[in-house]
Amino acid sequence: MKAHEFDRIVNKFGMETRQGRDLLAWFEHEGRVITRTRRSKGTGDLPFVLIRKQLALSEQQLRDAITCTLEHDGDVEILRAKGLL
Amino acid sequence: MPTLAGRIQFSGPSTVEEEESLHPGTVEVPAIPVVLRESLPRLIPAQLLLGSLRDPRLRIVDALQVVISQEDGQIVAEAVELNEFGWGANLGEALADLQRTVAELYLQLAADQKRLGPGLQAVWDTLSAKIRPR
Repeated sequence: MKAHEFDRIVNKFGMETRQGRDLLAWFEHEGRVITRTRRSKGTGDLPFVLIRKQLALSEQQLRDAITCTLEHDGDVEILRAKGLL
Repeated sequence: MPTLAGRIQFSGPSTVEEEESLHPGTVEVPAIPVVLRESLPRLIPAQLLLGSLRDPRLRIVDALQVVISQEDGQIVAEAVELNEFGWGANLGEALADLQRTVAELYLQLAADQKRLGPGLQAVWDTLSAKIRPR
């Protein structure tokens, strides 16, 4: 996963962020912290599989998020279906 | 004062040819040439136990299980039970990244522990059982 793809997901899902050594990003719903991930400042691709697991998405769902066919509301429904909300 | 090299005496033949001349027929020359490599292949463990975070604020009281893998030419160190990972160009970098990330995760979840969703609550339960503040 490219850094700009990560940033696109963070924006589409409306995740909160904090810039430290890495960019920390977490998804909040109704005041609760639901998922959490991060983007390293280092070079090279980010580990797709591990970020997918942290966001509690399937491979296809993460690809949909990258191509912008999955947005915030869709993510909420996925997380609700998994009992994470 | 004599040098160390000057004081050391080697005995016995120093070459195969010399040995052959002293003891004809006793030297067996291998049929297969020996290939010298510049470096040995590095063996990367499939998993290991992590017992330190290298963070003065935190200590591990029950080692974290870490699974090592490779993705896109990078080494990935994953603490599966925490759903957290570190990565880098080699194993040392990946583990250092994981240690830093787990420490950061602990501190963030500790600060937010009253408002964690079920997934992160489970992570916090594991974290707080395995890691303690100093």
